[in-house]
Amino acid sequence: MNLAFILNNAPLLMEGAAMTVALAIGALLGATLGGGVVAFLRMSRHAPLRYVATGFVEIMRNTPILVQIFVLYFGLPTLGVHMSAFTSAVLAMSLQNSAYIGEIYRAGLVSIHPRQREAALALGMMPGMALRVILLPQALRRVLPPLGNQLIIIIKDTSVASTIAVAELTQASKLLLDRSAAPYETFLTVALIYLAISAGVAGVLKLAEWRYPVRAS
Amino acid sequence: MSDLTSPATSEPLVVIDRVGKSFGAVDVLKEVSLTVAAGDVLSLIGPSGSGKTTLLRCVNYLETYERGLITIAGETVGIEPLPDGRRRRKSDRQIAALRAQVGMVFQHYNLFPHLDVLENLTVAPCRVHGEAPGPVRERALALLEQVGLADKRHRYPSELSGGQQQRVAIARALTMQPRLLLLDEVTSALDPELVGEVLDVITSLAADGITMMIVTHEMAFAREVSTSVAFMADGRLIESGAPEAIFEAPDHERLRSFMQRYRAGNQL
Amino acid sequence: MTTAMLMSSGMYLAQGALVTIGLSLGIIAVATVAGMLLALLRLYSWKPLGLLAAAYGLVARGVPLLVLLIGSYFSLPYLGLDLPLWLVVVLVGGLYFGAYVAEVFRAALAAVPRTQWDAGRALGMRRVQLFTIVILPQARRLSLPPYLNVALVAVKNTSLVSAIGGWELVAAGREIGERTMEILPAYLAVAAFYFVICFSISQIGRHVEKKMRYV
Ligand SMILES: Nc1ncnc2c1ncn2[C@@H]1O[C@H](COP(=O)(O)OP(=O)(O)O)[C@@H](O)[C@H]1O
Ligand SMILES: [Mg+2]
Repeated sequence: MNLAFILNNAPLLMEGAAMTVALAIGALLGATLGGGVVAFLRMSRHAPLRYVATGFVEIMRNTPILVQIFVLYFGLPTLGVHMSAFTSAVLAMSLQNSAYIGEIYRAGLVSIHPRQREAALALGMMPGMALRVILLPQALRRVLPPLGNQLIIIIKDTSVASTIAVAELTQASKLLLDRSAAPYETFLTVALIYLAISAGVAGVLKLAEWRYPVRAS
Repeated sequence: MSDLTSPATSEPLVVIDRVGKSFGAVDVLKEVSLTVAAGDVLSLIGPSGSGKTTLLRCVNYLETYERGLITIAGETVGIEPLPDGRRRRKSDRQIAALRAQVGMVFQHYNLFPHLDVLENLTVAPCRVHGEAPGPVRERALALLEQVGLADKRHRYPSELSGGQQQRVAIARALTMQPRLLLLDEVTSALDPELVGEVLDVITSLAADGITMMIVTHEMAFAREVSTSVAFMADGRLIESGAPEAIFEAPDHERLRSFMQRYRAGNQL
Repeated sequence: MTTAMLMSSGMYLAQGALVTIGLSLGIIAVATVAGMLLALLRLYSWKPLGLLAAAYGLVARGVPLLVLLIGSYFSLPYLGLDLPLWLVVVLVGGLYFGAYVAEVFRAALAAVPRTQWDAGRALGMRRVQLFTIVILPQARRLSLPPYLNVALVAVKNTSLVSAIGGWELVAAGREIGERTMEILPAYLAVAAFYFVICFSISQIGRHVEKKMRYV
């Protein structure tokens, strides 16, 4: 084992890990909001809005994130739209995960029995308040586990940003692999860092699920 | 004599005037007319599918109705009749304001599972009326005391029995201090041994003078607790009157055979 | 662009798509075998083996496939293993998705009611018989929609092969983009090819799910 090599390059790896986390947070924020829009449109009263949202979801789900990133980063400049590699990666991941997270939200909302809404209305709540105070809090608890799974997928997907040379963890490992004769060490270390990030996220989620349990009605 | 307690000369609290409703091509309510005075306890009885639930849901506008008019304390429910004869749906705000004055208890309790018992009671008064939490809490605790569940105030609905959940649901409706309480087959989903505790609570509310409209299949209870009874069949109001008259001297053949079937069923 | 160029570009992409489909089929085949094995280990084997299988699942599902591909691509030659790239992809991809397939099978097997085991035992079936005749067919039905979903993700992830120097649909698209200078249309065409493949899989999944609802 060539530990010295890893230790010498620890700063590079740590910077890469920080960039990975930044990409994931950016994509998560974008997709949390975008997912709300998708869910809202998918449940809209107006059929055209529903169709647009469904089309968006299908396209996002059935094409690879790598190709989506390439379209934004290599394709759009031919139309005069220029974005940094980081922005392209975050935007592409936000868009794709908006589709997934939108479906998660929607499933969470429809899983709540219509009687809950009725009970809230019967108490004199306006529809908006019933949604905010009664329906969303229950739905959020139910979407916590699938949302957590999606976040772990997002973290892993950030590795694709290395294909457009964003200096994240996978990119850092490629640099080290090119530079050295210590492939296993590099490979193991990078895998462990990804595992640690995923495990950390999973732990936080378990905590949140324990704090906000789904209760039967 | 105090004017506050003598509504005898004034308008009834609830006036249901020739109300009709259809689900698609099916008329489920046909020209139903009824009045309920303040302090009355009206029981709605009749075979399953006769429109009792639908009528009750129209009273707080959980269902809309196409013909006739319902008024509560002089205010029309859900619908504004225009001078030219057309009908306009009231605003969400107006409808919510009316519902805030009408409590409803459902067959399946419909408690909010993510809130504990006390929060189930306080959420609407605090959010809808914007009342201060302190007094609402006190009122809620008093009501929990009345339904015998003060010790369960920090439990969640899923930790309670069906009978306990239904008593919480009644207390939740009352915490809003409604002028009228609607109860739709509130014991039908309960195990037989839990029915009594819920009926006892309702009986005590009747004694307190709370105005109620009750859909029920518990005939002995209806007879004991009601000031008047209405019998529905096929979306029509067939007969209504004092409990003694309805149960002992029914005029209509439909009601007689309904009673006969009920008694036969009960003796088996 | 002339019609002839369009035609030849389309053909070129179609060749890339065939490679993508071939890699996907290989990955899914390996993943199915590995996934079934892992699921059986977790559910019915000696406890320590089950824990090992669970640990494998956690690791495989916590590390990006791209890292695993790059890692093995660089490391294997050092081990004296000089495998062709496509074989590395099929093996690594298959083992990676095997962890996901294992979850799918495990959930489906666990979802078959305990009473089915009791019923089989009451009929005097032996364990293996009972498993293959009674439990497995029921689990297979339950697992088909999520299994197809894993397959769909696997197809999309073959695009990573282009990032380690392999030739498939994305690489074909890149070449066409560079040759014709029509970069955006080239990548959009690549996306369209993926869409056709993946949407077909989604539709099969939906069809199966709908049919299942009525049984
Ligand atoms: N949402 C609905 N859509 C269509 N028909 C309905 C709906 N709700 C009730 N009905 C019909 O209206 C009639 C009256 O139902 P309901 O008011 O529930 O009767 P009850 O409470 O007396 O059993 C029944 O024939 C029922 O099938
Ligand atoms: Mg009913």
